Amino acid sequence: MEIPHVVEVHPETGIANAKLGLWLFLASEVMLFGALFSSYILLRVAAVEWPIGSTILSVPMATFNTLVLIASSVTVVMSWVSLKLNDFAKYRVYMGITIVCAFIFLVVKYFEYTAKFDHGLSPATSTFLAIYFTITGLHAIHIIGGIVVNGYLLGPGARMWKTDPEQFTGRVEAAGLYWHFVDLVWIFLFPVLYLL
Amino acid sequence: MSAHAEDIQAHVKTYVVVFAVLAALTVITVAISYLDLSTPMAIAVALLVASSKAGLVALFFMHLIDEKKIIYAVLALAVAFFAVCMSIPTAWHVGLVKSGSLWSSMETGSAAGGHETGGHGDSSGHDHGGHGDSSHDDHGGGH
Repeated sequence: MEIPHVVEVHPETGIANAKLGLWLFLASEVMLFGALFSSYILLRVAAVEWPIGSTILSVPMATFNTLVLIASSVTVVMSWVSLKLNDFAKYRVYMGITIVCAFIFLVVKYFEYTAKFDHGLSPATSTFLAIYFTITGLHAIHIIGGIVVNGYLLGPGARMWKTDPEQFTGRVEAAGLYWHFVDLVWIFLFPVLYLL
Repeated sequence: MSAHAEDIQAHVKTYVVVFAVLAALTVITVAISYLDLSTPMAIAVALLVASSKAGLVALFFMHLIDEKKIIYAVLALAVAFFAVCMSIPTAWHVGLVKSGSLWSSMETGSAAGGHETGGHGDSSGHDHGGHGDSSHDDHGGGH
């Protein structure tokens, strides 16, 4: 059975179903992270004492990670542009850099987490650290998810470029949209958790 | 075909400019945090910069500047939900929602943690209803 409107535009919506599906998923992601941001505010307003993030967390590491994610957002969109320009070799380079950036982010995050644990700081230490580990942990899982999807599109999934380039380009676009969202969430997490 | 390719080349230029602006705004966010701004001011400025950055990512990288109606409709739903999420703590804070049994039971449940970090003057007011209310009630005024 063939899934309808994977590539061709659906007459009712004006877009392909795959893209609509991806946006619906992103809307649900806004709700997921929105609920956690709401929890953060509620916890902070109710707290007797709340530390400024920079007194506990490493701002230089997080700043570096912010720049890494922004750079990867550019490379993922460039990988899609490369496919649009029929340049598969460039696509592989840009997608490869995107995945490397994602790994760099995780490695820095790993060092951040272990530095906290080494100092006896865990989610059980304070409400601030509890919400910090919850939100950044969920975000890190999203990064891992992005690595899996982008890795598939760079590796075995790339075969589709030969059989159905249009659908493959659509997949890369969808994966890119997801990756931008992960970047977007971090753009808010960084000041909220580290600087305020 | 060539017009199409030129079109894409223009896009690439935009991406590079947006990247530069995002990187600059990241540095600005960090720089601002070193200024000695009052907490409400610091929060306002930080959220303004973050929203600008998020806007740039959404508009240009995610191409929301030129999208189909249905995607805006989907996003409107998410934004509405997000607004409700954000209004819950606000409503609670300004006293529209009374800090009732739920919060008190959470306070007693984690009483040890609360006292560990909190000053004694504050925590006594806290036991009677929570932070949002304390300025309005008698106990808060007494201190």
